[in-house]
Amino acid sequence: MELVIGLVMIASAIAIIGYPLIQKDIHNLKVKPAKNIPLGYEQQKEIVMSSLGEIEFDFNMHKLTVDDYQELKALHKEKAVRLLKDHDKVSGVTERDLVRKLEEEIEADLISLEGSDDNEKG
Amino acid sequence: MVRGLVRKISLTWILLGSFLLLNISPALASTQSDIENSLICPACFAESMSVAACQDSTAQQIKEEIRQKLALGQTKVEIIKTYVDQYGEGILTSPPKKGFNLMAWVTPFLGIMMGGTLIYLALSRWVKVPSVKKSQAKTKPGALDDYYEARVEEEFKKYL
Amino acid sequence: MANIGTIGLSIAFGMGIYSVVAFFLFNSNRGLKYLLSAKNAVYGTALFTTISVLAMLYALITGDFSIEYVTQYTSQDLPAIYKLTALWAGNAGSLLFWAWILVLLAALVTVSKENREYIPYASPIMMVVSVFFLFMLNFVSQPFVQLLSPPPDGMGMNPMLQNPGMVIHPVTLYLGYVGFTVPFAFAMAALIMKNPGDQWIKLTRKWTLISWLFLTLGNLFGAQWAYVELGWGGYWAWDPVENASLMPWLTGSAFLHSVMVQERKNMLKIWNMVLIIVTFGLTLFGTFLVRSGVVASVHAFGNSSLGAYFLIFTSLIILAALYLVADRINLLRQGNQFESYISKESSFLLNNLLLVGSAFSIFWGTVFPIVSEAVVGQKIAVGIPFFNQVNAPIGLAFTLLMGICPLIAWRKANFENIAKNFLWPWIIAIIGMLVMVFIGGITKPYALIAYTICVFVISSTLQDILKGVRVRKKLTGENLIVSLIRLLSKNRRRYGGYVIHMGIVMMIVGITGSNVFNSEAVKTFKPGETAVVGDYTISFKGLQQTSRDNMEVIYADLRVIKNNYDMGNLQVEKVFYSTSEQPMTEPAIISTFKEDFYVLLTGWEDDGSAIFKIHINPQIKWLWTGGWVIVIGVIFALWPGKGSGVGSRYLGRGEVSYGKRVS
Repeated sequence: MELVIGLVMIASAIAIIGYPLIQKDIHNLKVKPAKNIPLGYEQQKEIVMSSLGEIEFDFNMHKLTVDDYQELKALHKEKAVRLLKDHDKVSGVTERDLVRKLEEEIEADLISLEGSDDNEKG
Repeated sequence: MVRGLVRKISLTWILLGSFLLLNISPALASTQSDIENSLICPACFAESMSVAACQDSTAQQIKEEIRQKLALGQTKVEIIKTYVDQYGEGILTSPPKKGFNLMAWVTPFLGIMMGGTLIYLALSRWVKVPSVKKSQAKTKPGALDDYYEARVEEEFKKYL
Repeated sequence: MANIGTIGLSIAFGMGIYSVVAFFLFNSNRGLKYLLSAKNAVYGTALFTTISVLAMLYALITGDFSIEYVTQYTSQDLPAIYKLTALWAGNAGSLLFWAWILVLLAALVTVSKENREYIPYASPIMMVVSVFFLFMLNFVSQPFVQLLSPPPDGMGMNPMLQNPGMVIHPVTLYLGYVGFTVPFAFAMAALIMKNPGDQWIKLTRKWTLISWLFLTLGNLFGAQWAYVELGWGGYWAWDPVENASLMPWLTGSAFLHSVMVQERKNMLKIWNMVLIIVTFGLTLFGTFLVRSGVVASVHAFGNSSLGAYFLIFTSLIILAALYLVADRINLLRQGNQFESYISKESSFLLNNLLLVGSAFSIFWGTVFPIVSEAVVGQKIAVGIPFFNQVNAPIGLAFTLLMGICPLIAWRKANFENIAKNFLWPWIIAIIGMLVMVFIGGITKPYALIAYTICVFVISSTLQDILKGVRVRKKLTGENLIVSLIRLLSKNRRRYGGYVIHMGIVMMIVGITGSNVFNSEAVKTFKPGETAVVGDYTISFKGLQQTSRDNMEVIYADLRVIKNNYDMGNLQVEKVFYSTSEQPMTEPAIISTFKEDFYVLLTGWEDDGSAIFKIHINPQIKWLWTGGWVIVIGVIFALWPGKGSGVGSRYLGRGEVSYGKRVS
């Protein structure tokens, strides 16, 4: 009985490792070593933004001096701005669009301000 | 200059602290258990089990002896010495602090001190206080800088 | 059954070797089919080892005394649960158990999609280690050796092993030991692949942390077992084997901290490699100590030739690993710089110095008898007083560091800010010290320093959390509760770490209290007598006798009253096992956070009076509770989701390095 089980075990062992070998093979496929793949916009943004958050946080926790804070903050803010700008460029938002959009927003703000003024008067 | 000062202060601080810490060693609660922990049970040399930990009759007997000797007013050093005279230094659970055995006690702290020196040397190689000016004035001022800066100020909070 | 087990092990051994070869063929570009086949071989190794383990368990449960191992460690009257645990009671069985965990882990790592790029290199490394164990099982220490004339009953299990500790302690400890193979394999794979970034660290973070947790628990369960079973009132004897499990814990803790510097600043790459190699080496070194008989130890599995094999294998794999590091040293050169002498980075260096220094001192103490014998020809013991004296200052120093480091900023800190942040914790600590001296009446300097440091660590940690909530509230405008929850859950790694620190502090409190303030007394009671020991009033009615499973029990019921409060009955036992001559003394314990009341029945006289030894061990419960707090901390830190990943990294002046993020 045990002999039979033993034989079955050996047979299945051979089957397990042999099966892939008799399959159709893909030659010369090599798993690419994971080099640093450039990160997507969202991930880059997350890193820069959370860095900024951390600097702000540490400063408020009194762990950073004012000088270090300003220096670090300027550095990372610049990075964040560059990242946002580059992204806007890629996604086709031009400066002119933005300026127009900003102006519209300002106008809308003004209108609503006037409206609220009217309300107060009324 | 400030850097040198900081260095000096931190070094003194670390040295002082470590001397302070070196001087404290936990004294066990009672002389009885202190002695029991310092002696190996003569019946258990193979496992080098201390008298305190051992449960067999020899250990019980020695515990009783120690208790009597303490009651007679003998000191810890005297009691331990009687056992060393009887069984040799092999009965001690810790090597006496003399001769070659001093190596046992000194080496760990030497090791830590050497490690500390290494770290110090590494730090003095790694620490570079960068000049402040370099990173600024790289980008050209654009019309929308204010807008972007405001946007950054707004957006980073989402990641907090 | 024996034959199935043997066949299973031989097949597993063969498949293990085959998988290494097939991975090699794939890596030398012979085609994808070799990768698939190699992976299958890994799974197959796991499968057939499992079959062998099941065969062994079946033999143990059914009491198949034709197998030598079964007769050596079980008997018919052994309770079923201990029949199962006999799997790791002996040399061959525990190797089998170890190998089984290892191959299961290897299979688990191989099947994971997340590790895809690393598998062709990391899996074969794990399999090399597995093959070594399977080799031992097949050729050196075979578990399925059969007896020509099976005896009717086995020799039974050592009574000391018949304790719930036997169920849980070896399992957790082995999981911890074996688990460190995973980060080691990935580190080596990263070197081979010439990808020395922090990807391997991130991929294996959960494995490292879980292994570390199991190692922590394994040590604690072992200590607890010694405490409740050995009956000397203590829990840690600095036995070489205990040391062997503490050393990788210390270096593993150092590793967990120093990888953060690499993730942040892309530095310390060489050091992290060395640390994981040392930690892995120490896990194997522990096995070597247990099985070689080179040092005197209560844990030894008895003399055997296994030690030599372990020594050779451990040396070979460590040398190979170090060679690999030396060969790729250019890849591991530092990228960034430190901006200041005082920063979180440099505080981590100090932490590493102390943890590794402590591990080194323990290593030195453990091997010193061998050194001494070789150099001056005198075999000398190195025991409790040595380790206590050497490690107490180191331990206090790194407890202190636990309070300081969280308050130091990454990158750049200065004395002024640190002093400001430390003001309140120090004031609280000093108030605490004064309270302890004048109200608590504690005058022993060691305890006083230790407790003051603990108060400091707790208050500085709490202050950091409270301040964090306040700052978050200010920055986001959330309300108090929301900002507390978000602060903690979005930085789970940091605050999980804090929780773990709190657990360690509790353990330090327990260790200090139980070592400095313990007291003991020996009392002889006549039946019906009552005596007062400290706050406790104990009354003894008389000795009784009963029999249970495979043992005869002499016991006494003690009624304990503490400060007029009835603590109930304590049953103190002396147990005579059918298979052992020496009786076991089973202590009875009343455990509170203030102190443990620990009684032993040491003997009796003809007139029916009994001798009891009573230990009062203060604060031991803190030690065990600290362990559970650590479990909570690890679970909190690892719980999947956004906050468990690596936080942001603001680097120095250089570009933000957009390494691949794995979270």
